[in-house]
Amino acid sequence: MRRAGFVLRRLASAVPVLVAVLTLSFVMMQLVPGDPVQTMLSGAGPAPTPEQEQALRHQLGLDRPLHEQYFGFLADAVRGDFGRSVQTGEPVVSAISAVAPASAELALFALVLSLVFGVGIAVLGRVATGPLRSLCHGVPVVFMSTPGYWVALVLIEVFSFRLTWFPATGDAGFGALVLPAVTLALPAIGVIAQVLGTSLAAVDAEAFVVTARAKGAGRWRVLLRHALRNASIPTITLVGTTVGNLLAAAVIAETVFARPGLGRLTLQAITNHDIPVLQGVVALLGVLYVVVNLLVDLCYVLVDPRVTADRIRD
Amino acid sequence: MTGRRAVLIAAATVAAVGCSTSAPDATAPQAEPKSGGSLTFATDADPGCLDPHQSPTAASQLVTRNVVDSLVAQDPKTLELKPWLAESWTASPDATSFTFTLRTGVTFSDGVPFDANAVKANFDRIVLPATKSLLAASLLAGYDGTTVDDPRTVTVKFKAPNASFPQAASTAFLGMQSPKVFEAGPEAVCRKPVGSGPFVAAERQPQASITLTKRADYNWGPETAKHRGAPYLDLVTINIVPENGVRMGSLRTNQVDAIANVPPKEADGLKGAGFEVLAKAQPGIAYTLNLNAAREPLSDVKVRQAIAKAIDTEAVVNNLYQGKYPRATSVLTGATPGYASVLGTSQFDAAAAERLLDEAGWAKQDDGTRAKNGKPLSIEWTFISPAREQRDLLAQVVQQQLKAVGVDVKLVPLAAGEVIAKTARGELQMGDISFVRADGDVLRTVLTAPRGGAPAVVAPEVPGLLTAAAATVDDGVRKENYAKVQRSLIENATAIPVYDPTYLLGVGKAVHGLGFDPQGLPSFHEAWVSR
Repeated sequence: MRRAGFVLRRLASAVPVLVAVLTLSFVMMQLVPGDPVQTMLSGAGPAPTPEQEQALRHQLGLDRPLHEQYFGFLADAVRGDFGRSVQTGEPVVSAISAVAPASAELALFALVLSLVFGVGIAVLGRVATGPLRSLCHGVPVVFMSTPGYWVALVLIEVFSFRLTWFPATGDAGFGALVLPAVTLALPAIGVIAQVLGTSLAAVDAEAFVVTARAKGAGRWRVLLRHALRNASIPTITLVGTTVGNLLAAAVIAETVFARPGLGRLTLQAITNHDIPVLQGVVALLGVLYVVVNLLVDLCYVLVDPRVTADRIRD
Repeated sequence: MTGRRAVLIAAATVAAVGCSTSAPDATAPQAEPKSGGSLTFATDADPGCLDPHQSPTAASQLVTRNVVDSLVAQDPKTLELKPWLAESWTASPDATSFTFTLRTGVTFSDGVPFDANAVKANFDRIVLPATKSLLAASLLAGYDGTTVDDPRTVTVKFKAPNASFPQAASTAFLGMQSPKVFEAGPEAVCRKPVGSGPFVAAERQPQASITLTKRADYNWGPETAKHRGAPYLDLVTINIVPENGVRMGSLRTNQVDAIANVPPKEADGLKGAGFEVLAKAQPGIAYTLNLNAAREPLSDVKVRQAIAKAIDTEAVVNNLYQGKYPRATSVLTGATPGYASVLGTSQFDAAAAERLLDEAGWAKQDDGTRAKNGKPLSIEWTFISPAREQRDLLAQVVQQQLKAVGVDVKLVPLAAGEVIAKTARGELQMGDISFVRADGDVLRTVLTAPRGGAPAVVAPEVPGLLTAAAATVDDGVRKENYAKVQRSLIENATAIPVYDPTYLLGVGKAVHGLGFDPQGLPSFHEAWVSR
């Protein structure tokens, strides 16, 4: 019951955040150089006449006072209507929903890889000895510092062109998902492994770990039952931001592996000054961040009994 | 950058070694074409809107040329006009009215029959402002309507002479679509054009691929084709793969059958590995730099001539394009009807450029730059970004060459729409353009309505020459006028041709009969696969 109330309160507090995001994207449209009307009319054979320009401006509502445009935009956005793409004339919502599943698939798989391997490497780094331990401590730094573009090309070269294990491009089937997901996951694996590894080392010196050991608990039991749970709070926070990064870094993976997705849609919208599409993407990302943050907060409650729903609110 | 290059070089080496053991199939005698099978093609650019009446891009035409037929066909080799959906046609002596006699028995893929009413519906639709045509409407400039004389005869009328209209009618831009699809509005046609062509646009995954399926009852191919019936291939999948290295590797590892735009520096390696690289010089406007004579300091012809002489186009094509794109010798490419060789030898002469700048009063400063009355010699070059064919690198090379004679160039990359808008407002100082069309009339398209990056000011006699050329069906007069225009542009140094754009198509070993249409785009109608 208290948890349901907590979720509701969090959702309510998301409203001002979303309004702020939408307001920012509206301001963005005002600040971006270039006139959407001219962009839409440009290239149409002979130079557009002032009448044509005026007609289009009226049709888009750009001749209304700024505050009217703003509230009109907010009202439309709440209804999920972001207008039509300046470039293709397609409704923004359908342009986004056409590629969103491909993006979600990629981001989710990359997230699973990041968690499995990130946590795995951190745990192994605590348990293992000798060269394996040094490897587990060194690898995260390497993963974090290799540029995604380079990783993508190397992965294609090795696993697609030489070993021919996976297709280089496209989005047909699971095989096509592997290389781009690995490209996306590598830096996230590095960050998670490093942060969790550091927390685990810190927790190792805590009294309750010493006590557990003194009571005769085995190494794995201490690690998994006591240390990991206590060390996971910073990592959970991190995973929240990782989801955002996965969507942002997707531009490179999507371009190199020729996959459809939000990243390429955004890039295209930026190069074409397609403001309505950009606003739609920004709003979607805003909603996603709110949802992910909510999930992260819920995870805190699940992992740490000291954190109650009420205390999070403060 | 270095990492990427290393990988690409590694890819080239491995492929060359790996394939040297298997005998290339390409040298085998041409076998009988085989029906069936599918072909996967990787292109670099997302075609965007697939309505040829709306979209001006080559990327879009790659798809639409296989889906829509035209009234007239242009022979890819001789550039002669031949019957296609029209069995014959006549032009009025003043080139304002054209009567077409149509082929019968042709249907669009949605079952609607092709007839005189369909032709009228298409042309009427192209000029409607609601269609938002970016190129096709300009090919119909001065359109005065189409009259249906009888079900298989139409007359297309223009307010002013338009002698090149039959050639324009051979492009996919003026291709015939089922009038029924127009009812759904321009956005719907963008997603799924419906024509009478050898292939049907079946499925589209945004940003990923377009699938074309065979039109089994097709039997009205153009007279220019060897094979006029249904296509051999059941299925053509066009994948969008923007990365050059990935496109190349996919071809080498047979993940795709053919690829668009082989980077010039990779062409020899690909050939060495047993693949075919087909080159097709594109007709139309060569890749040309343009100087706006209406803007200081380019209003001085000496400054413009100095810039033209300071640019070593020979070095540009050799270093950047390994000579795979020929150096341009005129504003029209060598493959264009009406082409006149103006720059048989390169006009590069750095010493002469320096002299001209001295004469124009731009004195060299101690730091190597030039100035006049305390004002530095600096010009702004606005170009479209993202650039294709490494034009962004080319701009940097030219920037260095001009710096050597004391001209400072500021590079301003902008989105295509911005460049076009800036050109239309006459604000461009220096711009660049290339434009595909297999007719000298392309000069009129580019020079009379300002296009992105095109010269804004031309010599006073130029518009008259172009109008006169458009008004006559006498090829001799047209050729002469086009030659005069080409010479005028070079003499006034408002245009500096750099290279003739050339389409390099990489073709896998199992693919045969892949050809080019006259615009220099691959056409799948006569292609077949042996596997």
